[in-house]
Amino acid sequence: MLSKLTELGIGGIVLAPGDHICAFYHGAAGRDELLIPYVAEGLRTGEKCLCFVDVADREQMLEHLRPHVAELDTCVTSEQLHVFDFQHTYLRDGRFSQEEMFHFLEQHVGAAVRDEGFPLARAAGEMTWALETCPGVEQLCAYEAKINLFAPLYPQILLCLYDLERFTGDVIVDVLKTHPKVLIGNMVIENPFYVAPDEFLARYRTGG
Amino acid sequence: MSPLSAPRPAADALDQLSSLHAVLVLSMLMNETGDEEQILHMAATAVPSLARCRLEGTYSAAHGWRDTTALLGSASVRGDIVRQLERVGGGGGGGELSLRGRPWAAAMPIRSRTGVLGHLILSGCGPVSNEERFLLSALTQQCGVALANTGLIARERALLAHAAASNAALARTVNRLERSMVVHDTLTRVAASSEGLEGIARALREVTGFAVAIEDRYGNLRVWDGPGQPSPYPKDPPERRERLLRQLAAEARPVRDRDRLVTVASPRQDVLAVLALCHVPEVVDDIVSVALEHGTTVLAMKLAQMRAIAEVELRVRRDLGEELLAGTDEAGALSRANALGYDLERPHRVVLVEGHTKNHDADAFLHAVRRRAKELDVGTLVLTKGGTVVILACAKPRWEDLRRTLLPDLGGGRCAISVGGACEHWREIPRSYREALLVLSLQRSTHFAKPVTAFDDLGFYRVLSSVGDFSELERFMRSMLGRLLDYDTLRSSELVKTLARFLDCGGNYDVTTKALFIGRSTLKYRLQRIRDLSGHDLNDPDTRLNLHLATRAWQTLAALSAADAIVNSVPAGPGENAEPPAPPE
Repeated sequence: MLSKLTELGIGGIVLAPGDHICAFYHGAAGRDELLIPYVAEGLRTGEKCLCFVDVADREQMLEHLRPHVAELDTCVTSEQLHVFDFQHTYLRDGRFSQEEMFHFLEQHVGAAVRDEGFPLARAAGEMTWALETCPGVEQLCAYEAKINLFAPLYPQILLCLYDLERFTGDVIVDVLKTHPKVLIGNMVIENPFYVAPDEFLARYRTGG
Repeated sequence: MSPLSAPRPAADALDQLSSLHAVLVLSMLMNETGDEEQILHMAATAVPSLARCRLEGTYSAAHGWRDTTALLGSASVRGDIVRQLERVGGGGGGGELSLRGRPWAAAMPIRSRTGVLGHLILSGCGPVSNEERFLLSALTQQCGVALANTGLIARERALLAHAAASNAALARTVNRLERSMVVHDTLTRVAASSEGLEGIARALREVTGFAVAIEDRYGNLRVWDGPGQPSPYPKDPPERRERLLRQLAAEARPVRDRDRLVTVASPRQDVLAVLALCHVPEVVDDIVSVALEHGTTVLAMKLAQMRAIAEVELRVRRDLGEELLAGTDEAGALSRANALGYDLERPHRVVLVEGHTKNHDADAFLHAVRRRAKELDVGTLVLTKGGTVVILACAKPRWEDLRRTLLPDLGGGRCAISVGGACEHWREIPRSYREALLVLSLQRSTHFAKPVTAFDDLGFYRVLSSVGDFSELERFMRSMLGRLLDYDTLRSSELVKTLARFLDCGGNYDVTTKALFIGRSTLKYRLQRIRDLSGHDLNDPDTRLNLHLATRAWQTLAALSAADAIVNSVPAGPGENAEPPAPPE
């Protein structure tokens, strides 16, 4: 795996490939303030970019990106940039399945760095899908814990976006426990005590 | 070495540290949120992930109950909890509570430096562990800090907003004062200067940015300053104009009239001007109204000042004219002439204009004569005396031109002009005046019916009037006409007048009857009476010549007597000679 640091695109923050980081924001405008520079920086440096957003925001997302990305349409047609909505990713078939989601990531991230020649893949996921009333959404924290196992497999950065106006405190606490790094404002806070996936999952399964 | 590569604590300790780390990050998020309700909600909903208990609800004095379970949906239960909080908390602390149906319940106080802001009401199967209590305490403490910070920030923002609003209001006030000062300074400078109405209009346009019109009471434009002057200048019908003037007088402030803001300047009842800002949009800065009102005050002052100056100048001119005609006060005449900047050393002659307007308006007649005399450069010393208008003329135009230009002003009235002889020095003006009066008298009493007559054109009358001693002339006149004069006096007849007109008409019966408006038989009768009483033979050429000279002498002596009566009369009082005020130029 490459060990070269890469610019996050926000406040001069650099991350290492394999980083799994969560960020908190307020509302759609707050999300765009994080997501747009993050994706724009990835496209600028030739990285594969995957965005997972609410279905209603997909086209809007592209329009918001357009002023910040040269030749956006080329990025889309060349598949350097994918903007996915929940219905075709997290909530495919109307339910959430960790296995299928990891399979999906394998297909796109793995292929990007393995077959398509991208040096790094950066993904950003708006996590509000977990607030939908679909089977399996309760597995959010377990999924987040397992992501820590998936992240080191490829040169990739995984950014999970949480809307503070919609998620409750208990989810936030669990999310914080499952992310080694947290982005708050323009600052990254490392969590030396984040709960390793197996420990978290063990407690999670026993309701501890 | 990175923290991740450090030896990791035991699982329980690691979990405790991870939770504590989450609480600290949660604290940062709560502080970043800046919304009190969201902070409370975030803290309350985090409880189940930190301790083996459930949240029954939150209670704070500021926000009341929220995030409550069904159990706390009951008002009585909530009331009971509040009472317990008051009891166990005393000053607002926390502790265990008794909650129906719950084996264990407790209140976790949310504290700040200023006191307890609220409580998290928790329940569970049993008391929480010390580690969990520590995490919950950390959570509520951070929640309290975030609430306190948010409150402080909100108060700070409110203060800043208040300060910004105050500063903005102050800035607006200062700006308004500065602009008011500019308005005040500009208009005061104009008021103190010798600039006339044009100066006021220009200054008002400078401070408002709008075109300015000054009109008389009838809507005639006197001054315009600025772009967009309409041509021809529109004039309202008299009824609408009067309505506007009444509204202006009643409201005593600027009134909108179509696209204009209008005020009236009326320093005295009979002096009036309308000041208007033109092409003004519906909404304007109130400084515009302030400027307009200030401009109106300055205009009123200027009108009053101009009026006073005009009146003083008129009075001085009238006094100068009186003294020159009377020839009595040399020093006074010179000083007044100097005050007026009037050159007395030019040749003058006295011109009398007798007549009236159609409505017999003496003031209008005087104004018309004064205006036309000025236009023709005849002279500026014009006054009324003895029922006529007197011009001390310093030029010799064609006097028929003066009369021709005057007649249209009189609207159907009449006008006659009598011109005295020229005088090289102003001390001779009384003589010219006497000559003009003689001409006037002859115009009235003889066949000199020409409306414009100059003393220089009088012919034999001029010779007769120039005689130094009138006694011999009077004796000759009496010797020829004495009996006829006595008869006329006794019988109130007009035999001398008839004889004079008969001889002036060359003895022609038809011309004489027309001139006297009498019949032929009456003329024949009168001529016979003249022959009988005087004993003169009217057909004898010598007798006829002497009689003609005698009648001319009679007319001249009568005219001189009338002129002398006017010249020697007491100077006219204010009733007759008071100058009507001239309209401000």
